[in-house]
Amino acid sequence: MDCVKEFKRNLAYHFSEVLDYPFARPKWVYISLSHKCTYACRMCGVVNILQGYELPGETVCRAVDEIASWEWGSTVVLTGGEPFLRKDIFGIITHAVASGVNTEAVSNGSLIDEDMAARIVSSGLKNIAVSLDGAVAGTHDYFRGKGAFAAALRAVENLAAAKKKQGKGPQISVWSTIMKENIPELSRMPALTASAGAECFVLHPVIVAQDDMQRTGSNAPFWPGNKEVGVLREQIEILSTPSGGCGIAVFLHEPRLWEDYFSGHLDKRQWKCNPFVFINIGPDGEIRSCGESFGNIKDAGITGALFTREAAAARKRMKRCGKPCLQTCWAHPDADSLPGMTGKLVKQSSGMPERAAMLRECLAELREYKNILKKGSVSDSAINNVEQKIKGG
Amino acid sequence: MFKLKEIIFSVTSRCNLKCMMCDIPSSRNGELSTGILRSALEDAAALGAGTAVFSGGEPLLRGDIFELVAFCKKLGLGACVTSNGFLVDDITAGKLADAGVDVVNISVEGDRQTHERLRGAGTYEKALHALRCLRGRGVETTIASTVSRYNYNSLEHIVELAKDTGATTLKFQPFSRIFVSPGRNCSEFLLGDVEAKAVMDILRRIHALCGHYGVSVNPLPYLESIPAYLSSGIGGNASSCRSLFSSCPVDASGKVFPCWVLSGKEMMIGDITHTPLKDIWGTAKHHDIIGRINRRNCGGCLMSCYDANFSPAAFSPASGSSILRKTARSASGPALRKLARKIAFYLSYRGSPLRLLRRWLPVKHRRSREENGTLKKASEEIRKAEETLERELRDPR
Repeated sequence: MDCVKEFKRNLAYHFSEVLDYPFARPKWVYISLSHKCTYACRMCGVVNILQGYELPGETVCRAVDEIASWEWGSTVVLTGGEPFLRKDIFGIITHAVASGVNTEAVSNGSLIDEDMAARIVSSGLKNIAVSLDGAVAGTHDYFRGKGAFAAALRAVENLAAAKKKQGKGPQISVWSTIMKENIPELSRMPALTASAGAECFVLHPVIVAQDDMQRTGSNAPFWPGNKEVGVLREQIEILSTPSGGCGIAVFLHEPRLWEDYFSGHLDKRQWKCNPFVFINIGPDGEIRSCGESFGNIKDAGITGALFTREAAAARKRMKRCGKPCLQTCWAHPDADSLPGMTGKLVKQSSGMPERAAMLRECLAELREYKNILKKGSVSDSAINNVEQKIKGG
Repeated sequence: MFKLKEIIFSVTSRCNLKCMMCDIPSSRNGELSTGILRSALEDAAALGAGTAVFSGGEPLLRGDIFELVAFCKKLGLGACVTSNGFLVDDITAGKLADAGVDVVNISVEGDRQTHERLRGAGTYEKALHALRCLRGRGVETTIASTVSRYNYNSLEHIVELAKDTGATTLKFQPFSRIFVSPGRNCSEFLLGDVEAKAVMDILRRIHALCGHYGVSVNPLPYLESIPAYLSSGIGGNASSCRSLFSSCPVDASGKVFPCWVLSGKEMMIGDITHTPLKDIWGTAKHHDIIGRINRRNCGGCLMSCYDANFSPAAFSPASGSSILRKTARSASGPALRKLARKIAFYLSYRGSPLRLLRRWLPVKHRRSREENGTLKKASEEIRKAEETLERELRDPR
C-alpha cells in the first residue's frame, strides 16, 4: 500500500502547487534551535542575526507534536547555529523520535567527542550530518577557523566508532558547500570521508543572495568564476564515476545544473521549486518557506501559518522567483508531472494482490482534485473532503 | 491647503557615473541614515503622501535602498526609484521587484553614441540591460531624458527604445542649471533659434509617436515649452505651480526645500536630521516661505517632476485624481483605500485614465490567458492520468 500513499502525497503536492492551496504538508521542517555557534564561518552570517533568540525546548516539542499529528512522513531537521551547544538537545531529540517523526540533525562536528558521539548514535536520529568544506585542513580552516578540519573529521570517526560498537545508529553524512576555494578538492573528499567512516557525501552549492541568512552572493569572494566552473565540470565527472564517488557520493539532482547555476544561466525550466515542500522555523519561532516569514509557531502553530494570506503571498513570490537556488529542500521533482506519477504507480503496483482496489482508490482521489479544478476556485466543502482523505491516507 | 502628495529624497549625492550635464556627485552632500529616512517616510505617510521618490546621485549605491522601498510599501506609499541603470542586473531587478517597487526610472539620453558621449563608455548597454531585467521581473519602467543641444537629434530613438524595452512612460526635461555647479558656463547645452525650431518639430513628432505606440509622455504644452526654455531661458510655469503645496524635496543632507529649483539657504523650510518631517511640513515658516515665493512670482522652471502643472485638469478640483484621493481618505476599508491610492498614484504619473486602461487591458488578457493555460494543462494531464488508470483497471497486465 506504500505506493498508494506515495501517489496520494504526490497528488497533494502537485495540486497544492497548481491550485495554490496547502493540501500537502511540508516534507522538510528545519528548526533552527538558536543561532549560537562555536564557529563564525566566512560564508555564513547566521550568527549575526537573531542573536539572543533561543527556541524554548517545550515550544520545539509542541511543534514536533504538531508535525507528528499530520501523519505525513515529514522530516524534522534540527539545525542552528550549532544545535549541540544546547543542553536540552537530547531531550528534544528523544521527544521527536518518540513522537514518530523522522528526526535528523546538522552539526559542524566541533562538539562531537566520544561521549557525545555515543549519545547521538543511541538517540534514535535517522541521520546526522557533519559539515566539511575541504579535503585539506587549509581550505576547511580558511572558511571555518583553525582546527575545524581536524575536529570535523574526528567527529565523523567518533560517530562511526560508536555506531560500530552499538551495532545500529543514524546514517552518518558529510555535507559540503561548493565554493570557489574548494572546487579543486571536491573529488578527493569522498575517499577522505569514507575512510573516516561516513556513509553518505552530499554536495550543495553556496547560495546566490540570501541576504538575511548568509553573506554570500554572486559578487562575493566564494562565488566561482568561469575558470573554476570549468574545474567543477571536471570534478563532477570524476565524482560521477563509481570509483571517484567511493560509493558514498550522492547527487540529489543532476550535478551539471551546478555549472549553469554558477555561470548564471540556470533557468526555471531546469529547476522547479515547490513552495509546499519545505519550511524553516527560526530561533524566534518565525516560520518561513523562502524569504519573509508568514507566521510564528507561538501563535497559530505551523498548520495555521500555512493557511495565512502571508503564506500565500510568500508562495507566490517563490513561484515568481527567476533565480533558482538549487537548494534541494525546496524541490520535489516526483510531484512535478502527473503522467509521470501515474506511470510510476502503474509500474509499482503491477503484480500486487489488491491492485484493482488500489488503483480505484487512487482514481477516486484524482477525481476529487478534478472536481475542485473544474470549479476553478478553492473554497468549497470538497476541499475538506480531500483534506480528510489525505489525512486518512 | 497643505496636503503632501509626494516626497522626493535625494538619498545620496554619490554616483558611479560622471555625466556631462550633472555636477551633483562633486557636491559631496553626505547621506542620510536609514533610520532618519524611515522616520521621514513614516511622517510622510502620516501626512497623507501617496508616493516616495528615491533619487540621487545613484540611489542603488545605497545598500539599504531595497529596505527603504519595502518600508514604503509597508506604509502604503508608492515607491519610485530613479537610476542610471548601471548597477541593475537581474539580481538587483529581482530584489527591487521583491521589495515591491512601483516604478523604476532609468535615464537614457539618446542612441548609443549620444548617450555614451554624455554619460561615459559602456553606459548605454547597461541602461538597456537594466530596462530589460526590470521588465523581466515585472517592474514598471520609465525612461527619463534630459533634452539639450547634444541629444535633440536622437530623441526619437528613445521612443523606439521605450517601445522595445516595454517602458511605459517617457519623461523629457530640458537641461537645467540646477544640476551643475554654480558659475559653470552652460552655453554648450543650450539651443540657438534655428535649432529651437527643429527641436519643437522633433518634440511634437515624439508626442504623436508616443500616442501611436501607447507610451505615456509629458503633456504636449510642456514639451512645446522646452525649445524656448533652452534657447532663451524663458518658460515654465510661473504663477500656478501647485508643486509648492504638494511635493516635498529633501536633499542628501536632509534639508527640506519648497522645490528643487528654489533651494537657496533662505528658502530652507527645515532639516529632517534635527526636526521630524511632521514638524516641518505645514508650519508657519513653510506658509511664510511659500507666500514669499508667490508674492515675488517665481521665475518658473521646466522640471519634469512638476509637469502635471502643464495639464490643467491634473490639479483642478474635479479631476479624477483628486476625487480618488478624497475617496482614499474617506473610504473605510483599508483595501479600498489601498486600491484608491494605487489608482491615484498611477493617475498622477500617467495622466489620462483612458490611456491607462488601454495599456492595462492587454496585460490583463495576457495574465488570464496564462492562468487558463496552467489550468488547461492541469486538466489535460488529469484526463490522461484518468485514462491510464481506467485502462489499467479494464485490462490489468
